[in-house]
Amino acid sequence: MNIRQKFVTLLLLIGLLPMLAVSVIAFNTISGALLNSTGDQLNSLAIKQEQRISTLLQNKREEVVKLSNQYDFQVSLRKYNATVGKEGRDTLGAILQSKKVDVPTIQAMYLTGADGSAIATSEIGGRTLAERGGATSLDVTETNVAMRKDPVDGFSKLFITTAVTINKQKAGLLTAIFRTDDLVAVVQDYTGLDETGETVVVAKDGVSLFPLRFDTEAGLRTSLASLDLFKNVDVPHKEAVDYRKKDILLVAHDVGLTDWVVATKIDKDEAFAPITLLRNSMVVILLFVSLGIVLVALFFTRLFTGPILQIGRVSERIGRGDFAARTTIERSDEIGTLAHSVNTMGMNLSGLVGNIESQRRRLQIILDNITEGIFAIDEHDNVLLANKAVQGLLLVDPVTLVGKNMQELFHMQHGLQDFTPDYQAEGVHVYTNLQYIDSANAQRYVKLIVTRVKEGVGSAARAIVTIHDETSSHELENMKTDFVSMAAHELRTPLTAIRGYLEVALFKDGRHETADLMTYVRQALKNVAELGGLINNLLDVTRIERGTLTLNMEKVDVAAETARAVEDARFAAEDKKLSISYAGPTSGVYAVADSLALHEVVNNLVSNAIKYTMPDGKVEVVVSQDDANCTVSVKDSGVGIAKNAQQYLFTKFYRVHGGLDSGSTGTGLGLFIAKSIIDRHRGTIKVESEEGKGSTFTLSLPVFTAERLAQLQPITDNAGEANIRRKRGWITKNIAR
Amino acid sequence: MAGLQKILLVEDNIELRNIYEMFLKHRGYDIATAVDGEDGLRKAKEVQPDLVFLDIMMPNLDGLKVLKILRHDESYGCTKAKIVLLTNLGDASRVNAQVKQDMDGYVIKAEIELNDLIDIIKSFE
Repeated sequence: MNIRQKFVTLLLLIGLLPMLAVSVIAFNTISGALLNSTGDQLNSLAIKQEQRISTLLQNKREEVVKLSNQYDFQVSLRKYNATVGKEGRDTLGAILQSKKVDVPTIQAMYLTGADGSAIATSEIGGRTLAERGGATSLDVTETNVAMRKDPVDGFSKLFITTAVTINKQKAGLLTAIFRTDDLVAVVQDYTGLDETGETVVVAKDGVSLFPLRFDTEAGLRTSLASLDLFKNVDVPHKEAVDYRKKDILLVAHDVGLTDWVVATKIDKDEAFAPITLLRNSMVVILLFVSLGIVLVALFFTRLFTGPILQIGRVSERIGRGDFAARTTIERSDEIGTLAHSVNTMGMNLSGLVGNIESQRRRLQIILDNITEGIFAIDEHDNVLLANKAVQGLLLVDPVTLVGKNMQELFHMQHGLQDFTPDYQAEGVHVYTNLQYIDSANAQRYVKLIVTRVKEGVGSAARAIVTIHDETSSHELENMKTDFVSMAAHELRTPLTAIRGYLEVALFKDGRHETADLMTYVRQALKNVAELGGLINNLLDVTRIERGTLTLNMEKVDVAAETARAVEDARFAAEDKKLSISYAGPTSGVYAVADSLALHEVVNNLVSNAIKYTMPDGKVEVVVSQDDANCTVSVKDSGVGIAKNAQQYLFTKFYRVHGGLDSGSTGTGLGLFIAKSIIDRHRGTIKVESEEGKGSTFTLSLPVFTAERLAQLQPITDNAGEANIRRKRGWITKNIAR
Repeated sequence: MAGLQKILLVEDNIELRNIYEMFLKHRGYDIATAVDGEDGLRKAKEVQPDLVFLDIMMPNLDGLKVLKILRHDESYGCTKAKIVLLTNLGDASRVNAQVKQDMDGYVIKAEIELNDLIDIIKSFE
């Protein structure tokens, strides 16, 4: 039962119970009163009728008694009785007739002797008293009143008989037959009773004397007898069931002079009609009131439960995490306060959770932006959390790693042996130089740090594993190692040649043709110069790294320098059966440059082109100029450079054909130095290449202007260094051929 | 000249190639030269050398690969030939067990005199 139902029930109880009680009490009271008043009414009518009937009967008897005591009547009767010839009969008849005329209600009068013989009558030639059923052999001492059906006309008549006493001797009986119209009128006058009200006068033997509205005599006789009316006639009223099986109220009174009873009755239905109406009205009113109460209760509960339900819903949403949920209730009562409290709670929770969320996000950002891969693991080495950097280590989404086992994620090796770090060791453990193969089948070098989480900090994580990917630095290490090995190789090559030429020169105890000898020495010197150049390259790298590479900027003829470089390379190209060509002006293309450095760069590009081009290939060098730049392009038909290698081409130690395995030689410094030098010239160097088809290196320098020369001149010109380099450069050039 | 009749020199460096060729010819050896690994294989098949001086660092097939092929691919007819590796590399880390098995000698060019080559040749006669 929800609040609404409870409230409706309560209101119904409060509203209806008193009303119901009042109704019942009122109903009982009123119906009691009504019963009494109806009884009284019946009673008073019965009394009134009884009195009137008694009065009428009294008056009639008086008339008869008065005549019996009338003087002329007594004289005539005595005379009649005293004479043998029965004289005076006519006189007596006349007297009776006269009386009949005087009293209109008298229909007939008879005088009979003490022996019952007829003496005189007002009805000459009519029926005798005996024939009409009157009493003739009476020992009547007083007056006898009776109702009889008159055979003359079939109507009920009132027979009143009184004894005529003369000289204290019964001299005859005087009988008057009355019409009963006046009595009937009295009985019919039941004013004050309603439709079902009725009056009846009935003999004590049960014969209805004046049946007026009771349906049949038989019904009356039966019913009234069964009503036991005559035993307790003084009871104001009785309730009974009549012959029609209807509930009635009934009052009966004895009528004086007779053994008659007058009774009044009314149907209970009618008597109680007002009370029934009252009851029905009350029922209708109660129904309407109930309906009203229910409606009012529903309205009021809606007023209360509506907002409460809304608050409930909002609370539930807040409980589910929808902190933006708010009630829309604007009220100044307790519900309004509750709604406001819920809103405040939502706001505070939202703020609180927002804070927590932003803190969490900050931590997440920190965690995700750490370049080391970080795992939190449980006591079974299973991953609880992994940060974003882990993706770089395992090449999978870190979220998918949760629940996986560390041992299965990383098959670590140390040296060439399998290695299993103890992820549950106490304290901090650092494992260096570990390797594993990632899912792309690439070798990874990592440093692994396992930090045991202190017990009792309420964390499910038992250890934090930090993995630092050292693959790239490892590769750099490899590159450096390779470089040292390669540098040694490169240095040894001219050294070997020098040694060889010198040994050859010593053959035959030095007895060679002068020209041959000269060739050996020159070749030895050339290799010495190459050796020097290599060492200079190494030093150049150091200078570039330290920022101490000094360039002697001047107006340089790029075309002439380039053409000379091509000529210098022609011998090597032809040796490899390559064709080498130069296109463009051979002089007059001026840029601001360090001629020695520029020569080095061009030389490097050309010798690279020769080196990476197969026999029967070709190398084309083109010099051109526009308003802003002079451009040198070196195009070869060589092996080309893979797309992914091109971006690293100008990086220190980088060698396209990978490690030493490929058989390619070189320090991996040439293009790095070239780019550094061209950058210093504010120029550009770039490569276009297709594997198997060849490469084109294009370097571009701004054309000479006086302003540019001024700009590019170093502020403190380290002329000494530049001069030394220049001098070495000349040596190189002189000895080259 | 008893024993080794033909020597193949596989060396990409033109000067060293010239010097070695000049020296060995001067000492009366029948010597053929090749400029890189591929050339070396071609020449080996052609001249069927008794001894191969094989540089390691070369373009177009390095010496170690050439060694493996010559030693194990009978179509070149050189599985029995003596093969001596020439190098100027800083360390011998890449001379692994397999290479040791296949080769007959290992020379660091910068550290020998030309006459040492004769000693090497003679050691196989």
